[in-house]
Parts: sequence; structure tokens; C-alpha cells
Amino acid sequence: MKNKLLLLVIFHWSMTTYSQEQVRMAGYVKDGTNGEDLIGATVLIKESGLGSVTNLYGFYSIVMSPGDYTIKVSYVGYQTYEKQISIHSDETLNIELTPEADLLGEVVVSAEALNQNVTKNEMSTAKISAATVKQIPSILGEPDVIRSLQLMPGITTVGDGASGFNVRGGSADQNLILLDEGLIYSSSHLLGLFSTINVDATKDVKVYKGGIPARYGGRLSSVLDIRQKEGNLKEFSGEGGVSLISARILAEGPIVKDKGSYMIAARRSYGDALLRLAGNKNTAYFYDLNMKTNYRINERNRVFLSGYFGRDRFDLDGIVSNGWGNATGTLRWNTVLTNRLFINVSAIYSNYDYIIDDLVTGAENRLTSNIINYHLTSNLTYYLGGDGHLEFGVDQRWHLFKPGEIEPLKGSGIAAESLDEKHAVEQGSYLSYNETLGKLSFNIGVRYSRFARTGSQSILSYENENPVVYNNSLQRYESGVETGTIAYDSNENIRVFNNWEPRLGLTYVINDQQSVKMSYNRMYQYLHLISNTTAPTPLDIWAPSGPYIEPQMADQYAIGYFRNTRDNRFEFSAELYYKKIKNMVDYIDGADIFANNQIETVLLNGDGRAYGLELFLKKKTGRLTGWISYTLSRSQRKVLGLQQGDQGINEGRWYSSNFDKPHDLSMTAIYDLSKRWTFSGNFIFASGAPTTYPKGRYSYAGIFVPHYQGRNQERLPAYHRLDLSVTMRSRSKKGKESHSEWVFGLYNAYGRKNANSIFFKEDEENRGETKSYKSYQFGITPNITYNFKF
Amino acid sequence: MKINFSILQYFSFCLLVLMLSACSEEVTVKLPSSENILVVEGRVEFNESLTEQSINLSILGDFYSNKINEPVIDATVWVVEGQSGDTYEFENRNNGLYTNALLVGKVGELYTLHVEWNNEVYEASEQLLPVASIDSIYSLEVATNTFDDGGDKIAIDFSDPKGIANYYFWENYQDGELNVVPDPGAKFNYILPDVYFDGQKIEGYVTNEEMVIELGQPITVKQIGISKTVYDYYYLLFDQAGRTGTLFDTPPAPVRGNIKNLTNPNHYALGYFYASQVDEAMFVLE
Repeated sequence: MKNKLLLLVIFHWSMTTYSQEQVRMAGYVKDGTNGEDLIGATVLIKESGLGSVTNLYGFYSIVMSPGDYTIKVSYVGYQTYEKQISIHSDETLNIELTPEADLLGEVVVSAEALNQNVTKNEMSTAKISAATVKQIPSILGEPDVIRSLQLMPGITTVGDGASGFNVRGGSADQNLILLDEGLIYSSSHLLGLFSTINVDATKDVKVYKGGIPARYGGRLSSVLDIRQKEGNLKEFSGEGGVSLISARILAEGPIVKDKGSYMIAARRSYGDALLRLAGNKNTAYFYDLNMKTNYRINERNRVFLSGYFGRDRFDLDGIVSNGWGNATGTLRWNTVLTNRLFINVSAIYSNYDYIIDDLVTGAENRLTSNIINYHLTSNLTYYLGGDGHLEFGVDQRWHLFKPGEIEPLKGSGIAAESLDEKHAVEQGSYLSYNETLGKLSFNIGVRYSRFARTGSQSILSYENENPVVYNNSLQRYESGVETGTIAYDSNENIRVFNNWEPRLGLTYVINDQQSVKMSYNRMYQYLHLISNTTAPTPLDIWAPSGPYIEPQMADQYAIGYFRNTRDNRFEFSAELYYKKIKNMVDYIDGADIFANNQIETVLLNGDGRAYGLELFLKKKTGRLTGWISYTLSRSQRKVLGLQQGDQGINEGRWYSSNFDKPHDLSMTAIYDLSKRWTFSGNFIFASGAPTTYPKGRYSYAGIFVPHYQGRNQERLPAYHRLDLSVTMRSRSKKGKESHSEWVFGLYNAYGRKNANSIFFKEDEENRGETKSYKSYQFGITPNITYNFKF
Repeated sequence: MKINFSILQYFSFCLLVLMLSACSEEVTVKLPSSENILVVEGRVEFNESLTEQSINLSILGDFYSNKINEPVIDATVWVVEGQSGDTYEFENRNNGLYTNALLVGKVGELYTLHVEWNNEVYEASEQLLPVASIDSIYSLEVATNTFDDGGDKIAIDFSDPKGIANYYFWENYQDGELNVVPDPGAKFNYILPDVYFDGQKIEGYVTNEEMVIELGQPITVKQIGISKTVYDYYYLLFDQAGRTGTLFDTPPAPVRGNIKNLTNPNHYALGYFYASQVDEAMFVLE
């Protein structure tokens, strides 16, 4: 029924747009030097002012009356392309743009800066280029995409060296992280020191903080959409880098010139080798591999195969060894039908797992945990007349959760044990309509999501269906009373959720230098990261919604003012947002979530709200570039009691979430002194994270124990930090790119001891004395990185 | 077999190893002064070596006070035995200790503690649980590794009864002094569920990984049978006492026991009262 309706709509539009005699021009916009598709390039017909922006695969499509036109194609960092065309019938026109100077940092003076940020019907997004990421200071000299994004308004972290990130007051599990459409569950290596994204392998990184398009679903707070490089279609080339902690290398080149190419990148940290040199018997390292290959079958059809494999390994004295990581693979097919219909079909696999080998003699055992996801998706874009286009698609994911399995190794006596496997099928279908009418652009979309928890699984039932009960006389939460189990077969639904997710985006262009934008999105999230620590750990498991866990739901409203000045040299935006979250997972006091088969017995259900003002000022051109972002915001939670007498968390009042940062200021400046020298710096000032202090101490079982009451009622001292770096490039031959550069950096230049936490405990040496300690991650950390191209 | 099931302990060590430059330093922050909250510590034991049962009462102190917590010396304490309904008055020793030499714990019996203090009545009940006996006790020379400073440690053998969920708690006395370290590993060492070794004979279990024993020193190990709720209580207690300051610590939380305030439920008490069979074994390194 739904499909028929869709067809009708399409039919109707095709009739109306074909009623006049019109022709269509479509094609791809690419980088002329390496053939990479350019995402978000503007293709404009000068005479009519009509245009199109290339989609995620670099494709555009414009309709016009037959005749002679001038087309103009522009993209940041590339020379503007203009061409006279005479068009009388549908035509394919692929356009190659030439980069301005070189991307590795020669003084870039854009001939014409762009105002897409003002005119495009899109708000609450953040983008950062690989070149910028490499120039700004980083921890231990490892360029880090996610840390760099944290310099943008609304994107924060709970502490130095914390894994995950927080967007507009949302928790780390509310970020949808996609790498070539494959789901990445953990964004960090080495427990948060580095991100899982190899900057060399990325072509485009974009975060949606709000106004999330209907094609995305499944997470409440943001989408981090990472697109890998396709590989150089023209010639073999490569790049790499060596820092104090890791080395990375990338090679790319044509398989068949202009038809097919590949990209392969690898990265490994070698801190473990240094540890071993220092006589330490423990090792800790990570590596990741990024691969992509594509082949153009003909003008209209193209296939891609891409993959990511990342892993962290720890080995402690041969007694215990841990490993965890993400793996994803995407097979994708792009096809263009009649210049107006662009189709993307993908089959995606992703897996996150961890393994712990405990090798104590006689008790050898292995614990494994997996989350596996098979995903089929098709996304279609149907181009109407003018700027209008329809996007629609369907996707289906099969989830398999294996939260934990313990098996004996080497014939040890450890009893095999397994936590319940869980199964779920997640479906989404969406339709979104984008149109520009004069000064107003709009995008109306809706996503329909369905999530079915399926067997086979035995589900425990509890008295009054309450897995958690409140013990009034002891004033604490306890597990509910088990009353039995219900067994479900593999073809049975345990519980099904169906939800509509409306999306809306509006842009009113006042003039080509200023606009007002508004957006609304409703999101549902069916997978929850079960983590009650300040930052998620790699051993946290994901739990699907089901009989006892409701899907989380968020409504977000945002309004913004966008303004460019001085010929688009300066970009300014101010956005206000309000986000309301229902059914957030919270935890009873002291919940033990590790290898807990009845996780529902330690969960509470709460609401969240986050609101704020984000200011952003960017200078895009000239010797001095950079940006200032300031966010004034709150992120709070409320957990009411389950029954009478139970007051919930903090007496059921709104309280600060772990990532509530009322003030957050960051400044980044990059100064190109000459072709050889670039200086850059960051300064960050933010409110301290919420924390809990004790109300006293008491003695029990021979130790002194701090006594806490309430959660997150105090705040750590303010956070501030200055980082500096200098880039020195090798002398380049005339007209040629510089091929290597040294980056010298100083992280935390004035050695501020920013508290990650203040914790309270009895002194192990002077027993009976209870003390408080500040734990901080980094003092002054110098670094050197060498980057090269070949 | 030998068991050592300390995944999370190892994990927290991984973190420490990894936090290449993570440091901590002592700071002082402004804290509120404490409220008068009663803390109850005690158990009824079925223990052949025991001469008297004791309950300790104290009140919550200021976090930075660094004095022994103020004892409660004006309370009335009695324990009622379930089936018989016999009441055992506990004698006030005026130092926070309340003792009774007549009460002998019986396995399976329900014991209810009553405390009357500041015109409020507190109550807690727990069934006395049995425990397997210590088959042998000896010293074990542990090699130094990442997790262990090495040295002579006290080790025991015991046989876990099959088909029953058992939870163990060990107290170690060195020269008559209780040895407990507020270490992140405590929650995997002093207490243990039998889920991974149900019905097996356990050999060479080190009951206090931090305690190095010396020549001629008398060591007593108490093996105590506890319920799951008591196990959970100790787990959280050791967890809260052994924080490491990383972003991966369990968040601060109150540790609530089983003491009910019958007069005013909002005025809660801390601590736990339970009842256990206790098997003691003594060892001297020669």
C-alpha cells in the first residue's frame, strides 16, 4: 500500500515536470587531479540562478529549458569552473575541478569564497577537512578527527583521554557513527587517547547535530558521517606520517585509469615497543586498516567495496590479554536512471567484539562478546524541476548480540558460561522532499522505524512486570521477584516497536550574505550502550530495546541565524536548540553491569533535556584563518521514582548529566607565515564536569568508606588548556607540491592540571586517613610528527 | 584447581598501565559536615572458636576528620532468634561494641537485630548461612608480576558444595589484626561467588593478595558463608572504597545495607547485619 502511494507521488511529479518541454543535465563532480568525487559542490546555471548540490556520491542533476547556458561549478578549495553549454536534450556532464594550490597547506587564497553555509538548507552541522585536522595541535602528534571536531560548538567530551564524544548534551551512545555507511560502535583507540578514524583515509567528515535528514535513524543526538577516499583514478600516489606514538601510511592508485581505483591505509601505534624497550612486560597498541576500491562499469553504474578493520590489543605480563575492535565492510552500487533518478544500494556488515584471555595457570579462560549487524539499504534520489528533489529509501538491519561467553582454555576447570544471545530486526523507510521556492527552501521528511526483538530467547518475567523494585524500608532499589520464563522461538517476536519520525528543515535566505534557518527532528533509538561510568569503556555492551527497555526518543528544535561578511571571508552563525529526551537509560546506585545477564534489574528510566546557544565565528581566508566557538548550554536528567515513597534520583529533580558543560569556549587559529611555515594554536575554556562529593565517611569491614548522597551535585574546577604547533614544510620545487612536513607541537602548553575527576578514599599507607585526590591526564606534552607524500 | 577470576581487576590495571601520563595529586575541596547517621556492623556467627558475638555501632564522621569514627555508647541492642523467639540482650562495652557470650548461631535460623538509639528503633534480619570448611591452609610463594608484588601469601583449599549458589567472604588476621586494603582488587579477592567453580575443589586460593606473611607471624583466615545480597553489599562497598580516579570508575554511590529504621524510614542507617557460619584456620610460617 505504502509503495503504491509512493509510486503515485512520483508519477504525479514526473507528469508535472514533464508537462513543459525540459531537458536535464546530470553527472558527477570530481577532483581533476585524482578523480575523487566531491561531496557538496555547487553546480549553478548562471542565467537562471538554478542549481544543484552534489550528493554524498558527488552526483548532481539539474533541469532546464533547452538553450545556451553558462554553468558554474564551485567547491571550497578548488578553482571555480565555468563552461558555456548548449543543451537540447538530456545530457551527462561530468566535471573535474582543479584544486587551488595544494592541499598540504600552501597559502590558499580562495579566488571566490562561498556562501553555501548561508544559502544551503542545512543547519547544525560541523565539518572539518583532513588538512585542517593535520595542522591543529594534537595529543602526541596523532591527528585526530574527533578531537578536532570537539573544537566546534556543541561537541564536547567528558574529560581528557575520554572515549566517545557528546553532542548537544547527549550521551556518547547517541551518536550514529558511520564509516562508508558501516556502523562503528566505538570511536576510540587505547581507551580514548585516539580516535578510530585514520585522517589520511577520510575524504569527508560531517556531523549533524540537529536537523538530521530522514535518511538517518537509530541514534538520538547526532550523525557522524565519514566517507573514505575512493582512491586516485589518475596515478599512483600515497602519503603517510610518523609520530611519537604511531605511524600511518596510505597508498592509492588506479586499477584501470579513470575507471577503477583503490585506496589502502594502515596505521599502528608502537607505544608497546617503547614500553618493552623500557623493560616493561606489558604491551598496549592499536592498529587499523582502511580499504576501498571502486570500479566504474559505465557512465551510469559504479560499484564500491570498502572496509575498515581496527583493533586494540593489551597484553599484561602474559597473564591477561585483551583485544577489541570494530570491523565493517560495505558493498555498494550506484546507478543513475534517466538522469533524474539516482540509486544507491548497499550491503553492509559490521561487527564489534572484545576478547579477554585470562591465562592464570590452572584457570585459563576466555571471555568473548560480540555485536554483529547485517544491513541492506537502498537510497534513491529523484530530481524534480529546479532545486527540488525527493529522497526515499528503505533499510533493514539484522542485529545479533552476544553479550558474553566464557570458555575454559587449555583444559582448565573454569565452567563454561554464556549470557543470553539477543536478536533484533530494525527496519526503516523514509521519504523526504526538498524544494526551493524563491527565498525559502524547505525539506519535509518522515522516517518510519520498526524494531522487532525476536527469538530465540527465554525472557524472564517478574512480579508485576517490575524487574526493579524499590524497597521502601531500606530505601534502595532491588531486583524484582522472578516469576518464571517465557521461551520464544527464532521466528517469534518478543516485542515490536513502530514509530514515525518527522523531520523538517527551513531556510529563509534574506540575501546572499544572511539567512535564518529552522529545524525539527524526532529520533528513536533502539540500541542502548549499557555504561554507568563517566566515559564508556570498550567492555560496555549494547542492549537492544525489548520487553523491559523502551526505545529512547528525542525531539529537537533549533533555530539559527547565519551571516557572512567581507565577501564571505567571515562566517558567523548563532543557533539556539532545545532537545527533549524520553526513556533514557539510567542506573540504580552502584549498578554492576559487567557480565550481568539480567541487566534490566539495574536500570531506571528517565527523561533528559538539553538546551543551549551556540555561537560560531570563522575566518576562512587569508594568512590567518581559524574559528571561535562558544556554547552556553545545559544537559540534565530527571529520574522519577517507581512507586510511592520512592523519590527517584536526586528526589526526582532535574540534575546535571555527566556531560553538562554550561560554558564551553574554544578558539583555533592557523597562521601561514610563508609557504614553509605555519603556526597554529588552540585555546579551550570550559566549565568543570559535574561530580559527586561525599557527605562523610564511616568504617566498615576494616576500611573507611566515603558516604555519598545524590548524584552530580558538585562540579570539578574549570577546564582550560592551550596547545601550540608549528608546521615546517620542505622546500618545494617550482610549481610542485611540497612533499614533506614536520609538525612540532606542545599540548597543554602551560601545564594546567585539568581534573578528570576528584576522588575520595582511604590512604593505603596512612590507614585511617581519608583523602581526596585530583586525577589528571596530561601535563605539558611535546610531540613531533613527520608527514610525507609520494 | 586454582581459581582467580579477576577480569575487571585486570582491566583496571590495564587502564593504569595505559594512562601513560595519568597522575593524581592530593587536593582538598570544600565538603559539607556530616549528618548523624548510624552505622551498624556485625554478624551472628556459628563459629566454634568464637567466645562472644559482637555488634559495633558508630556514627558517620566528617570526611576529612581523620579520627576514629565516633562510637555510639548510648544504644540498646538485642537479637531475637527466629524459631525460639529467644531474645539475647547485648552488653554495652561503652566503646561502640555491644557483646553477648550466650548466643550460639545455628545454621538456617533467622536472626533479627534490634537497635534503639536516639528514640528511634532500627531492625535487620538475616538467615544464618552455612559455609564449607577450610581443608588446608599453607603459605604460597607468589612470583612478582604486573598484578602482584610477590612474596609469601596465605592460601587455602576448600571444596565447594555442588548445586548450591554459594558466596564466600574471607577475613584475614595478621598478628590478630584484621588486614583489609582499600584496593580496587578487593572486590574480586575478599569475596567470591561460586558461579565459575560450582561443586569443585579449590586449591591454593590466596585469600588476601595484598598481605605478605612473615616468619613466626600467626595468620588466621575466617571463611564466612554469605548470601547474594551480602555479597552484593560487600562488592559495592569495596568498589566505592577502592576508587582509582579514572573515567572508568563506577560512579560514586551510597552503599545501602539492610538496616531499617522502623520509627522514621527517611532517617536511614548504614551498614549490614547478617548471620554466617564461620570456619577458622590458623597458620604460622616457620
